[in-house]
Amino acid sequence: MNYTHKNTHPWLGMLIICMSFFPIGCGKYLDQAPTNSLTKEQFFQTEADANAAMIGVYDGLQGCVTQFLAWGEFRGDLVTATVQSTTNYPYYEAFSADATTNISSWSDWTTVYKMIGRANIVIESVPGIVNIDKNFTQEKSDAIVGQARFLRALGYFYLVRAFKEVPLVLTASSSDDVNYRIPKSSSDVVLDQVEADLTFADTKVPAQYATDQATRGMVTKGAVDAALTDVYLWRGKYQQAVDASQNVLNNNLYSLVAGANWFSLFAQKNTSESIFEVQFDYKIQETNNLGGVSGAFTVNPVLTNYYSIEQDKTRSLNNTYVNAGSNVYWKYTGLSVNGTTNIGRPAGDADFIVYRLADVMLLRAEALTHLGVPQKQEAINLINTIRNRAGIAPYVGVDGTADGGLLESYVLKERALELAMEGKRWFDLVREATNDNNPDILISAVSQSRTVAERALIRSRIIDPRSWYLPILSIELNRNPALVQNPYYQ
Amino acid sequence: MLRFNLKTFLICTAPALLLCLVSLDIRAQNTIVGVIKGTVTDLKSKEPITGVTVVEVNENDRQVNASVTNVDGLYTIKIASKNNRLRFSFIGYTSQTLPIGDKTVINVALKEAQSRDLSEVIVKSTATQKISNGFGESSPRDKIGAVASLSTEQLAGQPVTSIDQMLQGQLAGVQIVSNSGDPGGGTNIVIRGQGSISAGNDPLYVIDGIPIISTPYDNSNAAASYARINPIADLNPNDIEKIDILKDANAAAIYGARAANGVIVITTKRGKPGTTNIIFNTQFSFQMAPRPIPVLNASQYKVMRLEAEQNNNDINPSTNTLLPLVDDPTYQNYWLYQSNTNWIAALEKTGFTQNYNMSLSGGGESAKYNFSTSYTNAAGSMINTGFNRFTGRFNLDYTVSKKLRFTANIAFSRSSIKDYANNGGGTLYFNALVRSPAMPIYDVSYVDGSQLPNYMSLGGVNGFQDNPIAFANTVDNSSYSTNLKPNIRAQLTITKGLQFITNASLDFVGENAKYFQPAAATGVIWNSNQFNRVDTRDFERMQMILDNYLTYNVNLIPKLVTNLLLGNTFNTFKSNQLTAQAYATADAAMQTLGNSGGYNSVNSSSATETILSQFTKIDMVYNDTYGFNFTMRRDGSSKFGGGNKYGYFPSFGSYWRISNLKALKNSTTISDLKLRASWGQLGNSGIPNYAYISQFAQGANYMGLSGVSESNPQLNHLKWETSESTNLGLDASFFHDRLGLTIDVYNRLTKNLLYNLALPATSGLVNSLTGNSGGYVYTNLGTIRNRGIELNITATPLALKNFTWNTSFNIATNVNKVLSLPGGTVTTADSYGGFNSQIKEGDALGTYYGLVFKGVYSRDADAVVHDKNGNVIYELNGITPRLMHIGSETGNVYKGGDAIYEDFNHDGIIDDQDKVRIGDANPKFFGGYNNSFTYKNWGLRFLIQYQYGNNIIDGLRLQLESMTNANNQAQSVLRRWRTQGDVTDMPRALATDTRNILPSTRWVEDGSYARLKYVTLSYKVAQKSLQRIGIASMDMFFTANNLYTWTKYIGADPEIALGSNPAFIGIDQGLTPQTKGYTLGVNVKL
Repeated sequence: MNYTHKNTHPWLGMLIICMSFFPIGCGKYLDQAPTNSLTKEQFFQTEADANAAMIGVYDGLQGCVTQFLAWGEFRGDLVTATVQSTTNYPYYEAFSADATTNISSWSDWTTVYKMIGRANIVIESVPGIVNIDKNFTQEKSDAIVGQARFLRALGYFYLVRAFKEVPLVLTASSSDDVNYRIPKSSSDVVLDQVEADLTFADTKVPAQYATDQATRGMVTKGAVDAALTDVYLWRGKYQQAVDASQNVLNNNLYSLVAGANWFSLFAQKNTSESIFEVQFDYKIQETNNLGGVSGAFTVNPVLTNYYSIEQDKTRSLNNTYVNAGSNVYWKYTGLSVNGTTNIGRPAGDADFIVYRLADVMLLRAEALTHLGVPQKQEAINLINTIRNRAGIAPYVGVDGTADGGLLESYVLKERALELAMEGKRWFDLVREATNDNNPDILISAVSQSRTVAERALIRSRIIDPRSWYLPILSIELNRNPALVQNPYYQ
Repeated sequence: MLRFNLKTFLICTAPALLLCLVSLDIRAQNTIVGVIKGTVTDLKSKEPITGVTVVEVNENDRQVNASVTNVDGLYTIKIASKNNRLRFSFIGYTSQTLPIGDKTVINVALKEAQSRDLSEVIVKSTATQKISNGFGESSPRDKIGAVASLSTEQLAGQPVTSIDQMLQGQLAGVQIVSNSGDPGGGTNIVIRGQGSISAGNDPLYVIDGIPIISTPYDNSNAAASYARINPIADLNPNDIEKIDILKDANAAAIYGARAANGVIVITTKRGKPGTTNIIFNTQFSFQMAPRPIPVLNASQYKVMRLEAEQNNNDINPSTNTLLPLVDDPTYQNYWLYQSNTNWIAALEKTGFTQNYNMSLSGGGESAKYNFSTSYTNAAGSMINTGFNRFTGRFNLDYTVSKKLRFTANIAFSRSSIKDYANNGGGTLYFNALVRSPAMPIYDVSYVDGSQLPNYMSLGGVNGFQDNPIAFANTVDNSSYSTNLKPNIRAQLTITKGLQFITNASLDFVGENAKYFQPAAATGVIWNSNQFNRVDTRDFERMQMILDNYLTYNVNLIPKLVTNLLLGNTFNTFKSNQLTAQAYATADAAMQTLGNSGGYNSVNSSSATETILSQFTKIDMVYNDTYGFNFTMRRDGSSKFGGGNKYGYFPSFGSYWRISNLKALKNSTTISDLKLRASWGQLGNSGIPNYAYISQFAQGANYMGLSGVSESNPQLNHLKWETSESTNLGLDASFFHDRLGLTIDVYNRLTKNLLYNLALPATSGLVNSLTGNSGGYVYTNLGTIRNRGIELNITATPLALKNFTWNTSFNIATNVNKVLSLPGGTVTTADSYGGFNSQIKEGDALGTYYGLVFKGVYSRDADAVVHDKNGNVIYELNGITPRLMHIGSETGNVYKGGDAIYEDFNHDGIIDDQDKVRIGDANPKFFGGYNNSFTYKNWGLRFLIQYQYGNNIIDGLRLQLESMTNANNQAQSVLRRWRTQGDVTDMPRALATDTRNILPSTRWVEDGSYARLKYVTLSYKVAQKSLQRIGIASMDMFFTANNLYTWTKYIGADPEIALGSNPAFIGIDQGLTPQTKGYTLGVNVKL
């Protein structure tokens, strides 16, 4: 090669320079993706992705159970806080209006919104997979979206009952285009959405799944009907509650377990009575803190009195509770009972029953007490069915002409005996006190469950119905300037 | 999604490779046709000049043969062709090129160069040295932005093992703080204040034009505080020719998005044509143990502890807390508490550092080289700490032809550091201060107290990790770093003034670390997951950079010099990490994962970051009087999404040389007077990779089925943090440059601060509100302002024949203020001793809030509530005075011996409402004062470094005067309150209860100090006596470091590590302090 620099270099140089300034094939140079997680573009492509996302929502549900239990039970009259729980005592169980300096984990709604957030992503993104994955039919999509909408509804239903007014988040937090700082909605707006979600789910989710565990552990039509019964009753829509509960009664998947096996509801998991039960299993590291949380409370004498007056052997000592020093609740910690030796289950292994048949029957009974004579008669029959199962005397000499309030008090008491420490009692008190415009039901029940020294203080506080709802954590208020503290705590 | 792959890289580098191929034009021409001789003299003095390079060049200006003149100015050169020419060049003289023809003797008289061209020669100050910004050099006469430079001369002879130590106190506005006194501990460099909260405040380091990896391994997520090496410490200080610090946006604009915190441009030494230089340096240093903090002896300790427990109503002498204190011989562990151990004395020693350096440099007209190698071994002033480093560097310049030049550099280093682990229980220095003096180092017999061979492992306050001597002697906490930096640059001259430069480089930093904690250190038994624990960590980072740029130097109109630069950069940064922690190796001699009985954790991760940039710069100088520049850089980063990937960073500035006014032109007083003004924007993207990408992660399982859930939302709005700075400067020199002055005034705004913001739980992304976990997303919010004034003065007050005195002084102020912050205040997670870190609108980063401490209640009756006029407030009964409470109305009551805190709202309750602003960690001003004297062959230099007006939270004192737990305490607690009526400023001993150690002014101290950083005495051995034994020059020096510190600070050392949170600085957490050291060194040049 014998060229001269003068002739070639400038042109060649210019060419090289032009090439290097406008590189070909470097257009995607700046797109880098993580190797330990999926991006949204990589996810929501197949049926398997839809299922995995839905499992994520159920995982969120698992995280909610201690809050569900606490909100539904601990301010009620069936429990007595032990020393360990005094750190949370001031505003939580004592209804103190001072929630500014107290950081109580019982006002933390994080886990519930986490489940709702995951459900929102499923509701938003799963339908699009139908266009991508040929095997993923519209029916399959609806079935998954139905489950997600059920769980979202369930989350909001608990939130409304615990806080009354809450931010209604219905869009997925998938980007920073979403407004994360949204104000509270009224409880009616939230509950309308809950009804809409449940109504959608009612026709879309399967009646049952391949395994019995899944049929009790995942969302079914039975679970939706049970939830609808609960929601309608909460809103005083009694006829609709009756109609919804009829679907549950007609569903041959569900039957009451025999009285002799009553504790197997908790010890054996997923019995025939169970409608929707959040699944846990210590063997695969899916555990909860239900045992520890319920262990922070002992049985209030109110409940032991009920049991002894009714001579209820099926549901009292060594079933609902054991006398390990001082009447400890046993539903989440016991595995078997033989009268003398109590065998505990591995920590964190217990399921959390959201709805079971006896619960729905008593909800139906409560709705019926607000209707006509024949309906009230059915209410008595339903209560007596539950009492018969427990081996205690049925109500005789009362019929459909009895006063609705009396029948309602029967239901309330029966629910205490049957469902103590299942996260129902406080909501029962608030519901009846509110729907019947009779706050005294709640006030007298709660104040009587306290020590004599506390009664006056507690009564003076809960006479204000605003105290029945929890405060919003100050951390959350700081993070969201659009939020306003609940009125009782302002 | 196309990841960075080889193909892409090849496509991108192809032009550079092509360029290399087509330009290979090396044709040997070594036929000898004759010999030319001659003498080279100075035109003016007629004296012969030694060391003039004589080169034969051909018609393409390629070098063919070369020679150098001897002491008498004589040279002899063999030539290849009579058609070639001879070039004579020497520093400080104008080169001459003469045809050879038929001549055999060519005598030349060289003319001394004009002062403008003399800039390579160090006369007396940095003002004459060129400024490098990594892309090219410019004369300081044309400086527009704010640049501070350190010359070779200023850098020489400092006994430092790391380059960051070289800069301390030398440059105005550059705050340099050592992380600790341990060898290899590293430093923090903050240029013009901290401007970022979450995106980092470290400057960009550029070595020979290549930005390098400069951050150490991120320890923040690790379970233990592993030893780690700062990549900056891998650089051999002897290799450095000079350092330029680009402080403002205008100076650093060419680096755009990476330069928001300033740029440190390091130029390494290169070979010079002429004789071969061989240089040896050797240094030996002694590092003294830190100044001791006197602590209680065993009997004083027991009395103090008993008092504390009794004041907390623990009066039953048979409790486990009191038994060790009451000296009851029937107690089964009696003998374990009968010693009087001085733990600190057992931990400290005199450190010793040795440093060897050799370099070989030289070359002719076409090839120049500089090879250097060094070895450093430092043993710290605490037993079993140390630092080891081997470095090698080879710099080559090769001129292929007049049109083509290559530069290749390769640097290698291998270093290791041995450190103490502070495995959740404080540093060993701290543990040695606080461990009970009643306990022995070695275990003792329960029967008679005789010493046993194993270490005593009984836990103190921090549990089983407390025996510092056992830890220091048996735990291996080492980190090894391998650092390889090759780069090659080709420079092609296309036509006159137009050059194309391509630059390809690689920076590889591989770090692996080992932590082995034998059971002998902790005393745990076989079933613990801490038994014979072994941790391994591998962390590898690699940065590939390809720059292509054009420069064009042209005189469009007479007297207007224009320089154009146009270029682009590809930057790929990859990292891979593997960490594992296992336990229960069968024997303490088996220290690898494979021998372990079980794993505590195994993790791996990898990440890639890419940056694609284009830039252009225009410099114009008119008649040496008016200067103007404009820079625009566009950076694209993989860290941002969608439309925010690219950021534009413009800058412009100008200068006016007032001294060129007719009135001043002939002034004998003013040699130079120049006004500068500039404005510019820079970016910061120092957030984790993939932060903007919507991500779904596994792990959300139900009924044994695997679920996936969202772990990060898509952040479409996330964009660059922008630092906008305005700079006004004045450069002046007087009396023929005998006195130089530089003043800069700046205003730097950091806008769109990148901040890791907490979302409300209703977003569904938070894990727990009360546990404060999850739910953080990066966002842009708020503005921080730094503004200040910098002054630098250099002077040569005396320049006599045998005696010169050079001095320089610098001072800078920086005022930091959070101008806006949505929400007003954010609290970050860090806290120490009750002090919380918070960022508040209107405050400076590093502002402390707390109570105001006013002394100690002498009697119980004194702890009553006063109204704002100082009158005692009574209870409703009108008789009993209202008592002071802690925290709430039902909180504990203050008593005699408790701390008095100002009750600002006079409600009788000391709580958060009484907390006020009590301090600021930012100095009001800081700087240095440098002096050097030479007398004949003797030289004396010293540097005083100072800062004034900052506060320090004396966390170590808080720990050593708390008297709340089993920790040993400082002797100052001997003056504590003991009985009613005692008047003192030291509260009573009170176990468990923290009322007396609440965050307050009691712990906030004045951190001002001035430190005699070094004093060096040097001697240059006379040249004549050396030449006989073949040594060109030799000098020796003796240096004393940190000889004296003027400070009011009570703690061990007022130089406090900054840490990683800019809002939480100035906290003395008891790291190894800076200590005195003495160094002896010899430099020999062959």
